[in-house]
Amino acid sequence: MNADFHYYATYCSAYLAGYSHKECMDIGYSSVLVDWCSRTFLSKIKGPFSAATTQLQLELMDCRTDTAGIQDITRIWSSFHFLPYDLYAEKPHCSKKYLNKYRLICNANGPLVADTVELAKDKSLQAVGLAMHVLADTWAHRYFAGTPSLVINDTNYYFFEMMPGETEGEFSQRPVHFRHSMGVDDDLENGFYTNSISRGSETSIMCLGHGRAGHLPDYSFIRYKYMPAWGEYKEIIKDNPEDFYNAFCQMIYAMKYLRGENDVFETSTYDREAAEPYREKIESIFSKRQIDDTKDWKELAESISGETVEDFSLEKYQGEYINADEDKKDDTFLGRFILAALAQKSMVTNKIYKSGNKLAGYSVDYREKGFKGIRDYRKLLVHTKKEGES
Amino acid sequence: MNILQRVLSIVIAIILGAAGVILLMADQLGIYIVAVMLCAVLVIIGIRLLMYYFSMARHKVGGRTLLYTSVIILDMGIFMLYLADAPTIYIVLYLFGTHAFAGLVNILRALEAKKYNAAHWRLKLTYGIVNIAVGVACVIFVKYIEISVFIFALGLFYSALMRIINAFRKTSVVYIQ
Repeated sequence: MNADFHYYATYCSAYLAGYSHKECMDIGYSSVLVDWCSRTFLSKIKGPFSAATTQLQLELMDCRTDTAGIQDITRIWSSFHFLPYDLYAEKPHCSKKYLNKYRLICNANGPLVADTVELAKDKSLQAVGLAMHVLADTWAHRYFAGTPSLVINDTNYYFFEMMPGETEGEFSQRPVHFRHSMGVDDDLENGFYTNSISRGSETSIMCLGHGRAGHLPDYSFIRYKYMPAWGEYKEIIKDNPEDFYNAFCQMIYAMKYLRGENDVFETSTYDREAAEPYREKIESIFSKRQIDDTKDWKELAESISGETVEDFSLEKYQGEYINADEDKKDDTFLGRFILAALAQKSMVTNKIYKSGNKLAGYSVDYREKGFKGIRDYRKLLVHTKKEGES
Repeated sequence: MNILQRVLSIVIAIILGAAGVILLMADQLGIYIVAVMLCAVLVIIGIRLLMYYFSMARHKVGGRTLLYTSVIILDMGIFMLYLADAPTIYIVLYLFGTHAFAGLVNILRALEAKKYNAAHWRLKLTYGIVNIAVGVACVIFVKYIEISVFIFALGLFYSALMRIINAFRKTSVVYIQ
């Protein structure tokens, strides 16, 4: 999903879930920050590199794709953008190596979504925003895996856009033309979209996530059909307007649980009632063929809360974190975000590791073996102990 | 990484380092050894691709293309082993291409890092400039085979060093409840 949805739509759903305007701003900001918190960003604020929630394009081009490199990439992208649906999925006549990749395919309503929401319960607003980013992306990034894999994430010439017809429910199809012109906007009118180059290598970063399908999974207006590399030549139809609306309603439901309004969080449950008064407006945003929905979402956000929703600025909380004393950094906005990121990455890596899959690397359970791992996680340990004491 | 992968990484690093030393000591024979090594890499890639097809890519939509590719690369590698005394220019061009590309990526990364005011952009820029300079040096000194061999050997030492560093790096994520 794009920043417009992660920032403004998350703001709207948080407001409909009962959070105040100020709280919604923090939740929306944290949600969109997941797409910005790269190692380059962390090196600027002198934060722990293990808290990276994304990788910039050039960071990816520059990173190694040996075992440790792949594990690092998988930890980031599977934890925050392509949450695996079923870590124990089966497919007949497949090698373990293939299954490990197959099991990382993202989809909505998997058990890890419930774990992600549960992890944010009674935590900071930053943790809530981060969890909402992960939840929303399970809808946009369905059918792709957060690890570089040609056999899972590749696409081919069989790729069509479903164009709405005159009457409702009627669609015509037109071929999607992919090109590799980075830096050039997608040509929505003529159906020219930028995607990554196929290099024919299993671990090429070109085959990470939905790179081979370009930005299509992130556009709210689009419906397309294609044959995923893992799908045994079966066609899949992706209906983004419907999926994005489900994501919106599921976020409201999840945040009502996080606020204590609902007793449980169950997957495949949506708060459509709370979203109903705004359904038509939201659907009209989804129906607009445009790359950026910021203006429309901002208008809707401000009309829902009656408050001014300021634009996202990456610089906003950097000074507070950089200038804070070492022992006070965890209490700053970015400090709380970093703790939430470390906790999410630690949890998802552990679940993948426990399923017998080493693609995200090794996980050491602190309760069983003590602290034997990447030093950055000591920050999380200290914080968890502090929370336990209080 | 588990213990076996760490040990394997160190063993490969030792082999790469030893190959670098042999190259530096081989004098005029060095360029021939480089050519044989590049051909051997092609053969290994071909075999690995074949294994990849049977273990994974046969499940992929359109995966059979990889089977054909693997056979062609394997065949090409075996064929080229017979032509290992090929003109030096191809090896020099290979060295130029890899260093120039790596240099370009480093420079673009440095510019991006600078845009974000990140601390390490000067170091990245230096890597990029050095990489491009090395690539250009290969072309300028095309007549002095020893220089190309020396640069290739340096590349092997660098790979060996990176493998050793990675083998000792802590990579486990701690799960705290």
